[in-house]
Amino acid sequence: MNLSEDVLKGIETLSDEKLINDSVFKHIIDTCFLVILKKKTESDLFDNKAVSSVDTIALKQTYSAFIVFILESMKINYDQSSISELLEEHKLSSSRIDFISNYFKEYRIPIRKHLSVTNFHFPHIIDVNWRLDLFMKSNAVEKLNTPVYMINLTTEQEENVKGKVQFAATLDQLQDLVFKLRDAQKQIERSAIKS
Amino acid sequence: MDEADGIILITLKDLGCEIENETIKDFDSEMVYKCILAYLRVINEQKVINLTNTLPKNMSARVNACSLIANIIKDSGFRSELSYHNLLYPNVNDIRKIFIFLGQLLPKKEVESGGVNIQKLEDQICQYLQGCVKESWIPYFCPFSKRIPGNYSTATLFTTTGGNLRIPSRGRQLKVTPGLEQYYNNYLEPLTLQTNRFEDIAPSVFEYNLSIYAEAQERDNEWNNKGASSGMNPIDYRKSKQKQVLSKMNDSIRQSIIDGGGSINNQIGADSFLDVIGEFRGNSLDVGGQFNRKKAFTNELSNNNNDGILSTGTKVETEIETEEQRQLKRQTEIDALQSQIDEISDSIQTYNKEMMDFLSLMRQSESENLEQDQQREGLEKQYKIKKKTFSLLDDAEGNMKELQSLCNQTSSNLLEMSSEWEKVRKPIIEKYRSLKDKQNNQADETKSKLDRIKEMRVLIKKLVSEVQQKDEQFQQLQDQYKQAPKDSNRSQYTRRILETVKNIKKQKVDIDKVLLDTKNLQKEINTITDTAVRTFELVKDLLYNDAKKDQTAKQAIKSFAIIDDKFQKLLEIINETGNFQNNILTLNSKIEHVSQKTNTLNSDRVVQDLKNIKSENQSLIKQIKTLMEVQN
Repeated sequence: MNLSEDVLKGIETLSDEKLINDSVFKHIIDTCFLVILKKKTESDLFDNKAVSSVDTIALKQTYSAFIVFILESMKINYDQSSISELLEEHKLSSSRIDFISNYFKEYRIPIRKHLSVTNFHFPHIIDVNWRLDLFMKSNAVEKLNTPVYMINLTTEQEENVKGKVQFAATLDQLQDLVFKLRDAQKQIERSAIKS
Repeated sequence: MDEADGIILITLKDLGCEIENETIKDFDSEMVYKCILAYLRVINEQKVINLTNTLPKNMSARVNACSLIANIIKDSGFRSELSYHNLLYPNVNDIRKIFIFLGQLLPKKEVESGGVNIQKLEDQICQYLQGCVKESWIPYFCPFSKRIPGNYSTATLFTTTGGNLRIPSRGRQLKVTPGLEQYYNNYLEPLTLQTNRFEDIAPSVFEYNLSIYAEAQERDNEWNNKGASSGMNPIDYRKSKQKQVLSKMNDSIRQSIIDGGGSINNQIGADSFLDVIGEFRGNSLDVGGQFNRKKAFTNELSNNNNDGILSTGTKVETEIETEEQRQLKRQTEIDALQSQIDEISDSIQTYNKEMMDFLSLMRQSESENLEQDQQREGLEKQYKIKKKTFSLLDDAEGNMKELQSLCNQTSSNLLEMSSEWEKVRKPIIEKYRSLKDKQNNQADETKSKLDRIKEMRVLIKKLVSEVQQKDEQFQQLQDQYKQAPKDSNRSQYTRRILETVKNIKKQKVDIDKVLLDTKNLQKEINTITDTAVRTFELVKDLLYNDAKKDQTAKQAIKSFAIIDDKFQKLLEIINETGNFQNNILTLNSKIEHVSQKTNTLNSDRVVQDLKNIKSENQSLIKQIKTLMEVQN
C-alpha cells in the first residue's frame, strides 16, 4: 500500500499515548468509520467532552490521516493481518491495533460497498420492460409490416434513484444484441475456468 | 529403462506436450523437436523465442532449427556429442540422455523464472470472474445494501476542484509561517468536510494521497540519481534547486517582457520577479474601466426594462412616462457624476504625474549637490598642499636635505620591516600550505567516502529488494506447498525405486543360485575326471599285466590308447564349442546394441531428404536467376 508521508505521520501521532489518551483514541476511530458510512457527522468529532483537552491540530491531523488510511486500505482490500502489521510498524500498541481491526472486521463490507459505488462503470441495469410493435406503413411505403421492439431498461443511478434507457430495435438488431450478450457471457465463463 | 521413460513422459505432460506415443522409442523427429522445445521454453524462454512450434517443412530451415537447439543444449552444459542430426534422425539412447539432462535443469530454473506473481494475479482474476458467473440476479426492490458488493455504478467520479485537501501537522512549517497555526486551529475543516460533496471524499483522498506519494518518490529518485553526488545534504539541495527554478522563471519572464514591447514596461530595470509581478497587478486593476463596465451593464438592464414595459400596453403609459422620466433623470445625474469623476481622476493623474516629475527633479538636484560637495573637497585638499609647498620654498636647500634624510630613514625602515615580514611570513605560508594539503586530502577522502556510501546505498537497496523477493517467494512456495496434493510424482518415484530395489534383490538371489549350481557342476566334473583318470590307470595296469601273457591284450592296449586319444580330442572340442557359444552370445548382444543404435538411421530417409534439399536448392537457384534477370 502506498501511503504518503503526512498520512504516516498522522498515524504515528495517533500512537502517541500522551497526546491522545485511550478514550480520545476510541472516539476518533469510531467517528472516522462512522463518518465514512454517513452515520455520523464531522461535528460529532469535536462535541465529545474527552476531546476538549486535546490539541486541535493533532485531532484534525489524526482524524484526517486515519480517514485516508481507511479509504486506501479498503480500496485495495488489504487483509486483516497486513493492516495490523502496518499499524504495528508505526508504533501503535497492540490493544489499539485490536480495537482498530475490530472496526475493520465490522465495517469492511459496507465501506467496500460505499467505495464500489464510485466508479466509471455504466449504470447498473435492474429491470427491463419491452413491447412489440408492428410497423405497418409509412408515407413512402404502403406496406411494411415489420416488427419493432421497444425496450425500456431501468437503471440504478444511486440508491433509490432510477434512470431510464430507451431504445427501439428491429428483430435482427435485437437478435444481434442477444447473441453478443451471450458471447460475452460465454467468454467470461471460459476465462473463469481456464486455470 | 522403462522406468526412466515413464518419468520423462510424465514431466513432458506436465510441460504441456501432447504425447500420443507410449514410449520414447516411438518418437519421431517432429515429436522430439516439440518436446525439447517445451523443455527449453521453461528453462530459458529468451533463447528459443525465435523458433516455431513445429518443425518447419523446409529442409534447410529444419537443419538450422535443430542445430540451434543443439547449440543451446550444449551451452547449458550437455557433455556428450550432439549436433543437428541427432535431433533430426533421433535414436532412443541419445534422446533419452538429452531428456534426462534437461530434466535435471528444470526445477532450479523454474524457481528463478518466478512467474509466480503473475500466476497469483491470474488466479485472482479467475476467482473474481467465477464469482461474477455465480452471482445471481437480485430484483431491484431488494434493499441496495443487502446485495453483494459489485459494480453498481451510482456516482460519477469527481475530485475536489481547485482546493487541495490538507492534513494539518505540527512542525517546522508552523513556526515559519505566521498565522498558519491559527488557520489550522480555527478555520481548517477536517478532511471529510474539505470536499464539496460527500461522494467526492474517497476519490479526492485517493488523488491527494497518490499525488503526495508520487512526488515524494520522484524527489527521492532525483536525490538518489543526482543529489547524492553533489555533496550537499537533502535540504540544501532542495533549496538550491528552488533557487535555480526561480531564476530560470525570472529570466524567461524578463525575456518575454522585452520581446513583447513597451506597452507595460517603462521600467525594464525591474530587478526581481516579484517586482514584475507587482507591476502586472498594478496595471490590471484599472479602476475606471471596471466602473465603466458596471455602468454599461446597468444601462443595458434599464433598456431591456424599457422595451419590456413599452410593449405591455397603453393603460400604464403615464406611469411608464414618469418611470422613463425618472430613469432619464437618473441617467443624466449618473452621467454628470461620471464626468465629474472622470475629471477628478484626470486631475489626480496629472497631479500624480507632476509629483513624479518634481520628485525626479529633486533627486537630480540632490545628486548634483553631492557631486559639487565632492568637487569642493578635492579642491580644498589641493589648495592646502599648494599652500604648504609655497611656505617651504623659502629655505629650499635645507628642506631638501631634511627631506632626503627622511627618505633614507624611511627606506632603511622599509628594508628592516621587509626582512621582519619575511621572518613572519615564512611559517605562516608553510602553515597555509600544509593546511591546504590537508584540505585536499580531506576532500579526496570525502569523495571516496561518498562513493562508498553510494555503493552501500545501492547494496542496501539490492539487499532489501532481495530480502523482499525472497520473502515473497518463500510465502508463495509455502502456499504452493500447502496447496499441492502431496506430489503424485514423488510417490511414483519412490514406488519405482522400491520396485527396482526389490528386482535387484531377486536378481541377486538368482545369481547366487546359478553360482552355486556352477560350483556344484565344477565339483562333479572334477570328481568325474578324477575317477576317469583313476579308472584309466587301473585299466592300463590290468592291460599291461595281461599283455605279457596274451596277444589280444596287446591289441586292446593299442585300441585303448587310441580311444583315450579320441576322448581327449572330444573333450577339447566340447570345451571349444562352449567357448564359441559364449562368444556367440556376447556377439549377439553387441549386435543388438549396435542395431538399436543404427535402426533409426535408415538410409532411405536420408536419401529422400537429400533429394528434397537438392530440389530446394534448384528452385532457389531458379529464383535467384529470375531475380537477376529482373534486375538486369
